[in-house]
Amino acid sequence: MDEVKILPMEEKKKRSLNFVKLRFYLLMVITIILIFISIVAPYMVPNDPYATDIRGRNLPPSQEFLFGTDSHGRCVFSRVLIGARTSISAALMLVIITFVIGTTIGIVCGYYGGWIDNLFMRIADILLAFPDIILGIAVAGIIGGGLFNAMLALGLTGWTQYARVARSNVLTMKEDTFIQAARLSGNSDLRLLFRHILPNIIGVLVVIATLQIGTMMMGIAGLSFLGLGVQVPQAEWGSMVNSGRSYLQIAPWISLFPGLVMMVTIIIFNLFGDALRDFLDPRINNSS
Amino acid sequence: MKNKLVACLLVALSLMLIGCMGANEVEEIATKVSHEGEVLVEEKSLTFGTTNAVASLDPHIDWQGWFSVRYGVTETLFKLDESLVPEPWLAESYENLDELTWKVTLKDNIRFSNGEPVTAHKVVENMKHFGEENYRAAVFSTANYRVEDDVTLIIETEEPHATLINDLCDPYASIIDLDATEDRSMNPVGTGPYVPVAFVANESIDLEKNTNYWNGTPQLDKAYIKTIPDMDTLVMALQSGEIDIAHNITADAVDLFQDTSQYTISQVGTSRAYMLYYNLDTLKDEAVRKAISMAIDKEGISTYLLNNSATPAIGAFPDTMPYGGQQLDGIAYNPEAARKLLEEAGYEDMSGDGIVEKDGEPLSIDLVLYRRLAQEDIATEMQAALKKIGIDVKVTVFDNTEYLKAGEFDIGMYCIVTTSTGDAAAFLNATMRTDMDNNFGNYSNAKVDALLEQLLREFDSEKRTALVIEIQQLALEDYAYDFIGFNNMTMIMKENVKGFKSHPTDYYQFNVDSTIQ
Repeated sequence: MDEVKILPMEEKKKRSLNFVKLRFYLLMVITIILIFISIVAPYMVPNDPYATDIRGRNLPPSQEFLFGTDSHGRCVFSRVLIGARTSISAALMLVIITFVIGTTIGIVCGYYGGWIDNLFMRIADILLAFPDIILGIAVAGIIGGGLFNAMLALGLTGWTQYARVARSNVLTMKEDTFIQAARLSGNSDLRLLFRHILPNIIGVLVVIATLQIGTMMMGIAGLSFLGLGVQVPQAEWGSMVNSGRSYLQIAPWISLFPGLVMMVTIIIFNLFGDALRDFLDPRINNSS
Repeated sequence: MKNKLVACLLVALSLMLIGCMGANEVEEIATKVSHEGEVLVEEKSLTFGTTNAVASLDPHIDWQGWFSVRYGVTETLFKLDESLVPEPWLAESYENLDELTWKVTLKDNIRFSNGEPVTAHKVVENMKHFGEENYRAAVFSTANYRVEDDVTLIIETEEPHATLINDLCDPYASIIDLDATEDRSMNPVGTGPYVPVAFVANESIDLEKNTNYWNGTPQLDKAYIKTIPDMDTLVMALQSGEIDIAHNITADAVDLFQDTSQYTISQVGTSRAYMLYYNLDTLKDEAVRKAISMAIDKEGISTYLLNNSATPAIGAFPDTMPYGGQQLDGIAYNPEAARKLLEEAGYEDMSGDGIVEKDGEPLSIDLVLYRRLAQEDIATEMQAALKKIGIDVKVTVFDNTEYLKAGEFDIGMYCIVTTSTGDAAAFLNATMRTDMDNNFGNYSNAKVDALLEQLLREFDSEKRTALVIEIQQLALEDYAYDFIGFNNMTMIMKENVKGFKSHPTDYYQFNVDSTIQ
């Protein structure tokens, strides 16, 4: 009886393992393709995304203009492609920068403790007390519009997530025997932090970072939608959705397509983050 | 699964019910009143939607008079007709006795909404008051007044002032009962067909008919003015029936109201110009300014980009005026010639990036504007058009016009009414004369200054017209300004709304005949 019961369990585990792996690789390929598209976008656009044609405004989707044209007669499809570059690269850059800064602050705070820990954690507490998009609007409103300022506004709160997680992980780890051993054998603090502690907590941080890409993309698009992000005529999804707002009843494609593409992209990045977490989860991974 | 479906349907149904409530509420209240009060005659009321917010109803301060005249609360001594020529309104007639002296005779049947008669004495009080309160009315603060009898007054100005009667058409010259009005910002007592009964600053004005009106019986019992700052929301409010009439609708939205069995569209050309200031301190090369002017497709911008909501301009005034654009020699749209002109001036694209250079410096200019009507759309189009002739344009958008005063621009786009009272002198004098308030580009031409001085002292209308034409022509030939187009104003109302007509001035909307059927 026992043997009969155990076998399907094993089978199930194996199958789910395969599924997790498959899903991860599949999403990784899609994500890489997406990033690749955003990099080569300028060479792929069928029409000049900045060339206006006031005689061909608000044209519906056709063979020449796959997503139609906007209120200045510009090709929406080309602008969505070019916008991918702005949106995706800005989000990726923002995530990488906040990841590095946040993690460094986190492990330093966790390892040394004391006033430095107090200082940064209280700052993080204050920043976390505001809804980040509201804080972003306030900051972008004060220092003015522009993509860089919008990124700065979002980055201001972005680092706290990594700092918090890194700090709590370091706190539990720093009394572990292998760290004690490494310290006793004369390793410097720097080497301890980056050679021995960081590799052990990086997995969970990378998962957070991947999930943050979608959030940041939405944040940038949100600020651009409100007119605090990119400036005219630069193509960016959020500002494209906004510029089509007045034409929703006349030419819905101006807002619809950038919105749709943004939604799909964010879903893909989020799914990829999920898949990565499952993939790195020791409960599933160790059994193999 | 079935349960879920039912739940979903229930949620959807309740949402629909909530959505419908807004529209029904108003009608329900209306029928209730008529049942309880047993009023047999149905009360006539309509709601007027606008993006303009009204901060105060006091007509004498700033531009607030535009609102009190627009909504039929106050009136002025003279009124502008469709071609902006003054005609008597509260006044019966006027006489220009000499360069400094004007005699104005009032109609003898005019009463304020509180029943008090409008006397020459009260009119003089008003003139002194708005002369003090409003910088545009400075001439009235230094003038001397004499009251001859109840309906006749004499105005003596300090300097010759040829446009005095035009100035009396400006809404700041509204005649109100200064003695009776305790809080002019909330409740000015005017002579118009409607009286404000409830006013919430920047939100709403509730009007009731003036039972003492001097010129007939107002057709509407009540009118509600509602400020809806967002254009898209305003459009949807008209579609949903929340408002009966919408003021200043954008061109593209007009396409939604083409069904003439449901809506009436009233469109009129105005003198609100989209204009460019060339900064003569930073854009010193005349060839560059000329090339820029040549590269702007005014016709295309007006017809296609702005969907006929603008009329292409040559000079500062529309063609309907005697000194309008048809009298001037403007520069024709010709991007090819513009490119050649730049080449002859030494600008060539050596680096192959599509932007021309001179002495290794790429030709890059700052185009600065503020958010107003279609200015952003025009800027985007200009940016693309100038790139075609090799000029790199950086666009900066502000919320107000401070940047112009600071002179931090190469091209400043501005949106201004060039002749609000049928008088060309005020705009030209403030804009084109050396060191004047609105001369943001630091234009200075001794001949223009001399002609402007002459214009202010000239009383003969034909000579004035000739001067206005000459001044504009000189400024255009110096490439100090360019005028892209004049905004056409569109008012859209439900088919059953009558007695509203767009007027080139934008402030005579409500009148005694305004009604809803």
